[in-house]
Amino acid sequence: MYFGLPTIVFYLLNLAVVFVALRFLVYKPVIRFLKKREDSVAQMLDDAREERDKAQAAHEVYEARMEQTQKESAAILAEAGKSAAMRAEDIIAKATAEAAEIKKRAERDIENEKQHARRDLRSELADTALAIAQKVIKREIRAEDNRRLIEDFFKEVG
Amino acid sequence: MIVGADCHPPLPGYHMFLKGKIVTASMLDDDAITDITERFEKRYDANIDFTVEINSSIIGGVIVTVQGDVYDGSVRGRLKSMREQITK
Repeated sequence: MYFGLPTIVFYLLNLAVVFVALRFLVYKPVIRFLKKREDSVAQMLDDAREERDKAQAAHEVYEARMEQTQKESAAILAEAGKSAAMRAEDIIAKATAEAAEIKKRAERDIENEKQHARRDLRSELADTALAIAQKVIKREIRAEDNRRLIEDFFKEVG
Repeated sequence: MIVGADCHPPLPGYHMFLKGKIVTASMLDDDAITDITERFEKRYDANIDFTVEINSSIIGGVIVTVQGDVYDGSVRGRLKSMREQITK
Protein backbone atom coordinates (compact mmCIF):
# COMPACT_ATOMS: atom_id res chain seq x y z
CA MET A 1 0.00 0.00 0.00
CA TYR A 2 1.35 3.37 -0.89
CA PHE A 3 0.69 6.32 1.38
CA GLY A 4 1.20 9.55 -0.52
CA LEU A 5 1.33 12.95 1.06
CA PRO A 6 -2.32 13.78 0.39
CA THR A 7 -3.34 10.55 2.05
CA ILE A 8 -1.19 11.29 5.08
CA VAL A 9 -2.50 14.80 5.21
CA PHE A 10 -6.02 13.44 4.78
CA TYR A 11 -5.46 10.96 7.58
CA LEU A 12 -3.88 13.62 9.74
CA LEU A 13 -6.78 15.93 9.04
CA ASN A 14 -9.13 13.06 9.87
CA LEU A 15 -7.26 12.45 13.01
CA ALA A 16 -7.40 16.12 13.88
CA VAL A 17 -11.08 16.23 13.21
CA VAL A 18 -11.64 13.04 15.19
CA PHE A 19 -9.43 14.43 17.90
CA VAL A 20 -11.26 17.71 17.97
CA ALA A 21 -14.61 15.94 17.72
CA LEU A 22 -13.60 13.57 20.47
CA ARG A 23 -12.34 16.41 22.56
CA PHE A 24 -15.59 18.30 22.29
CA LEU A 25 -17.98 15.40 22.14
CA VAL A 26 -16.32 12.92 24.46
CA TYR A 27 -13.35 14.25 26.31
CA LYS A 28 -14.97 17.36 27.81
CA PRO A 29 -18.22 15.65 28.79
CA VAL A 30 -16.30 12.76 30.19
CA ILE A 31 -14.07 15.14 32.07
CA ARG A 32 -17.12 17.04 33.22
CA PHE A 33 -18.78 13.78 34.21
CA LEU A 34 -15.69 12.63 35.97
CA LYS A 35 -15.37 16.00 37.66
CA LYS A 36 -18.97 15.84 38.69
CA ARG A 37 -18.39 12.35 39.97
CA GLU A 38 -15.29 13.44 41.73
CA ASP A 39 -17.14 16.34 43.30
CA SER A 40 -19.98 14.07 44.24
CA VAL A 41 -17.63 11.55 45.78
CA ALA A 42 -15.81 14.34 47.57
CA GLN A 43 -19.12 15.64 48.82
CA MET A 44 -20.08 12.15 49.94
CA LEU A 45 -16.74 11.82 51.66
CA ASP A 46 -17.25 15.19 53.32
CA ASP A 47 -20.73 14.20 54.39
CA ALA A 48 -19.45 10.89 55.67
CA ARG A 49 -16.67 12.66 57.54
CA GLU A 50 -19.20 15.06 58.96
CA GLU A 51 -21.48 12.20 59.99
CA ARG A 52 -18.58 10.39 61.49
CA ASP A 53 -17.62 13.49 63.46
CA LYS A 54 -21.20 13.91 64.60
CA ALA A 55 -21.37 10.26 65.60
CA GLN A 56 -18.09 10.58 67.40
CA ALA A 57 -19.35 13.62 69.26
CA ALA A 58 -22.62 11.86 70.09
CA HIS A 59 -20.68 8.82 71.20
CA GLU A 60 -18.55 10.99 73.47
CA VAL A 61 -21.65 12.60 74.90
CA TYR A 62 -23.16 9.16 75.38
CA GLU A 63 -20.02 7.88 77.07
CA ALA A 64 -19.97 10.90 79.37
CA ARG A 65 -23.64 10.41 80.23
CA MET A 66 -23.11 6.68 80.81
CA GLU A 67 -20.25 7.44 83.14
CA GLN A 68 -22.35 10.00 84.99
CA THR A 69 -25.26 7.60 85.21
CA GLN A 70 -23.04 4.84 86.48
CA LYS A 71 -21.61 7.15 89.13
CA GLU A 72 -25.13 8.18 90.18
CA SER A 73 -26.28 4.55 90.26
CA ALA A 74 -23.33 3.57 92.38
CA ALA A 75 -24.10 6.43 94.77
CA ILE A 76 -27.77 5.46 94.95
CA LEU A 77 -26.89 1.82 95.53
CA ALA A 78 -24.45 2.77 98.24
CA GLU A 79 -27.10 4.95 99.89
CA ALA A 80 -29.73 2.26 99.54
CA GLY A 81 -27.35 -0.29 100.99
CA LYS A 82 -26.74 1.98 103.99
CA SER A 83 -30.46 2.61 104.44
CA ALA A 84 -31.22 -1.06 104.04
CA ALA A 85 -28.60 -1.93 106.62
CA MET A 86 -30.00 0.67 109.03
CA ARG A 87 -33.55 -0.50 108.32
CA ALA A 88 -32.50 -4.08 108.85
CA GLU A 89 -30.96 -3.13 112.20
CA ASP A 90 -34.12 -1.27 113.19
CA ILE A 91 -36.25 -4.19 112.19
CA ILE A 92 -34.07 -6.62 114.10
CA ALA A 93 -34.10 -4.40 117.17
CA LYS A 94 -37.89 -4.02 117.00
CA ALA A 95 -38.35 -7.73 116.44
CA THR A 96 -36.10 -8.53 119.39
CA ALA A 97 -38.02 -6.14 121.63
CA GLU A 98 -41.33 -7.58 120.45
CA ALA A 99 -40.12 -11.11 121.00
CA ALA A 100 -39.04 -10.19 124.54
CA GLU A 101 -42.45 -8.60 125.19
CA ILE A 102 -44.25 -11.65 123.80
CA LYS A 103 -42.12 -13.89 125.97
CA LYS A 104 -42.87 -11.78 129.05
CA ARG A 105 -46.58 -11.82 128.27
CA ALA A 106 -46.50 -15.54 127.67
CA GLU A 107 -44.72 -16.09 131.00
CA ARG A 108 -47.28 -13.89 132.74
CA ASP A 109 -50.13 -15.80 131.12
CA ILE A 110 -48.57 -19.11 132.07
CA GLU A 111 -48.17 -17.95 135.67
CA ASN A 112 -51.77 -16.74 135.73
CA GLU A 113 -52.95 -20.03 134.28
CA LYS A 114 -50.91 -21.90 136.88
CA GLN A 115 -52.48 -19.89 139.66
CA HIS A 116 -55.93 -20.40 138.18
CA ALA A 117 -55.27 -24.10 137.93
CA ARG A 118 -54.00 -24.20 141.53
CA ARG A 119 -57.06 -22.31 142.73
CA ASP A 120 -59.38 -24.56 140.74
CA LEU A 121 -57.63 -27.64 142.05
CA ARG A 122 -57.83 -26.36 145.63
CA SER A 123 -61.53 -25.61 145.13
CA GLU A 124 -62.15 -29.04 143.69
CA LEU A 125 -60.25 -30.75 146.46
CA ALA A 126 -62.02 -28.65 149.06
CA ASP A 127 -65.40 -29.43 147.51
CA THR A 128 -64.62 -33.13 147.38
CA ALA A 129 -63.26 -33.22 150.93
CA LEU A 130 -66.21 -31.25 152.27
CA ALA A 131 -68.73 -33.35 150.38
CA ILE A 132 -67.20 -36.45 151.95
CA ALA A 133 -67.12 -34.77 155.37
CA GLN A 134 -70.75 -33.77 154.95
CA LYS A 135 -71.79 -37.32 154.13
CA VAL A 136 -69.84 -38.76 157.03
CA ILE A 137 -71.11 -36.18 159.51
CA LYS A 138 -74.69 -36.61 158.32
CA ARG A 139 -74.37 -40.34 158.81
CA GLU A 140 -72.60 -40.21 162.16
CA ILE A 141 -74.14 -37.19 163.88
CA ARG A 142 -76.11 -37.97 167.02
CA ALA A 143 -78.41 -35.98 169.25
CA GLU A 144 -75.64 -35.35 171.81
CA ASP A 145 -73.38 -34.09 169.00
CA ASN A 146 -76.12 -31.70 167.99
CA ARG A 147 -76.41 -30.55 171.59
CA ARG A 148 -72.65 -29.94 171.76
CA LEU A 149 -72.85 -27.97 168.56
CA ILE A 150 -75.59 -25.79 170.04
CA GLU A 151 -73.46 -25.26 173.17
CA ASP A 152 -70.54 -24.17 171.00
CA PHE A 153 -72.90 -21.92 169.13
CA PHE A 154 -73.96 -20.28 172.39
CA LYS A 155 -70.33 -19.71 173.28
CA GLU A 156 -69.77 -17.93 169.96
CA VAL A 157 -72.94 -15.88 170.18
CA GLY A 158 -72.32 -15.01 173.78
CA MET B 1 -70.97 -17.91 163.44
CA ILE B 2 -72.86 -14.64 163.30
CA VAL B 3 -73.97 -13.44 159.89
CA GLY B 4 -76.00 -10.40 158.97
CA ALA B 5 -76.37 -6.79 160.12
CA ASP B 6 -74.54 -5.48 163.17
CA CYS B 7 -75.92 -6.77 166.41
CA HIS B 8 -77.96 -3.91 167.71
CA PRO B 9 -79.46 -4.66 171.06
CA PRO B 10 -82.47 -2.52 171.83
CA LEU B 11 -82.37 0.39 174.24
CA PRO B 12 -82.40 -0.74 177.89
CA GLY B 13 -85.75 -0.67 179.64
CA TYR B 14 -87.63 -0.91 176.43
CA HIS B 15 -89.30 -4.31 175.86
CA MET B 16 -90.17 -5.32 172.38
CA PHE B 17 -91.91 -8.28 170.92
CA LEU B 18 -89.92 -9.84 168.15
CA LYS B 19 -90.30 -12.74 165.82
CA GLY B 20 -87.52 -15.21 165.26
CA LYS B 21 -86.82 -18.47 163.48
CA ILE B 22 -84.77 -21.47 164.52
CA VAL B 23 -83.69 -23.81 161.77
CA THR B 24 -82.46 -27.17 162.94
CA ALA B 25 -81.50 -30.45 161.22
CA SER B 26 -83.53 -32.58 163.57
CA MET B 27 -86.20 -31.88 166.12
CA LEU B 28 -84.82 -30.14 169.19
CA ASP B 29 -86.02 -30.96 172.65
CA ASP B 30 -87.97 -28.32 174.58
CA ASP B 31 -84.99 -27.58 176.84
CA ALA B 32 -82.84 -26.68 173.88
CA ILE B 33 -85.53 -24.41 172.42
CA THR B 34 -86.05 -22.76 175.80
CA ASP B 35 -82.31 -22.28 176.16
CA ILE B 36 -82.05 -20.62 172.78
CA THR B 37 -85.09 -18.44 173.45
CA GLU B 38 -83.80 -17.26 176.81
CA ARG B 39 -80.36 -16.43 175.50
CA PHE B 40 -81.67 -14.41 172.58
CA GLU B 41 -84.34 -12.68 174.62
CA LYS B 42 -81.54 -11.62 176.98
CA ARG B 43 -79.43 -10.53 174.05
CA TYR B 44 -82.20 -8.50 172.48
CA ASP B 45 -83.87 -7.60 175.76
CA ALA B 46 -87.16 -8.45 174.17
CA ASN B 47 -89.71 -11.18 174.02
CA ILE B 48 -89.04 -13.32 171.00
CA ASP B 49 -91.52 -15.71 169.49
CA PHE B 50 -89.45 -18.35 167.70
CA THR B 51 -90.72 -20.66 165.00
CA VAL B 52 -88.84 -23.89 164.55
CA GLU B 53 -88.11 -25.21 161.10
CA ILE B 54 -86.57 -28.60 160.35
CA ASN B 55 -84.09 -28.57 157.47
CA SER B 56 -81.81 -31.59 157.20
CA SER B 57 -79.55 -29.85 154.72
CA ILE B 58 -77.88 -27.90 157.55
CA ILE B 59 -76.71 -31.33 158.82
CA GLY B 60 -76.40 -30.31 162.46
CA GLY B 61 -76.39 -27.32 164.82
CA VAL B 62 -78.85 -24.43 164.41
CA ILE B 63 -79.42 -21.28 162.43
CA VAL B 64 -81.19 -18.58 164.40
CA THR B 65 -82.70 -15.55 162.72
CA VAL B 66 -83.92 -12.57 164.72
CA GLN B 67 -84.85 -9.20 163.24
CA GLY B 68 -82.91 -9.87 160.06
CA ASP B 69 -79.79 -10.96 161.96
CA VAL B 70 -78.70 -14.45 161.07
CA TYR B 71 -76.72 -16.51 163.56
CA ASP B 72 -75.35 -19.55 161.75
CA GLY B 73 -74.21 -22.28 164.08
CA SER B 74 -74.92 -25.07 161.60
CA VAL B 75 -72.52 -27.76 160.43
CA ARG B 76 -73.18 -26.67 156.87
CA GLY B 77 -72.14 -23.13 157.77
CA ARG B 78 -68.94 -24.33 159.41
CA LEU B 79 -68.06 -26.51 156.43
CA LYS B 80 -68.68 -23.53 154.14
CA SER B 81 -66.38 -21.41 156.27
CA MET B 82 -63.71 -24.13 156.16
CA ARG B 83 -63.96 -24.22 152.38
CA GLU B 84 -63.42 -20.50 152.16
CA GLN B 85 -60.35 -20.78 154.37
CA ILE B 86 -58.90 -23.59 152.24
CA THR B 87 -59.49 -21.89 148.93
CA LYS B 88 -58.28 -18.41 150.06
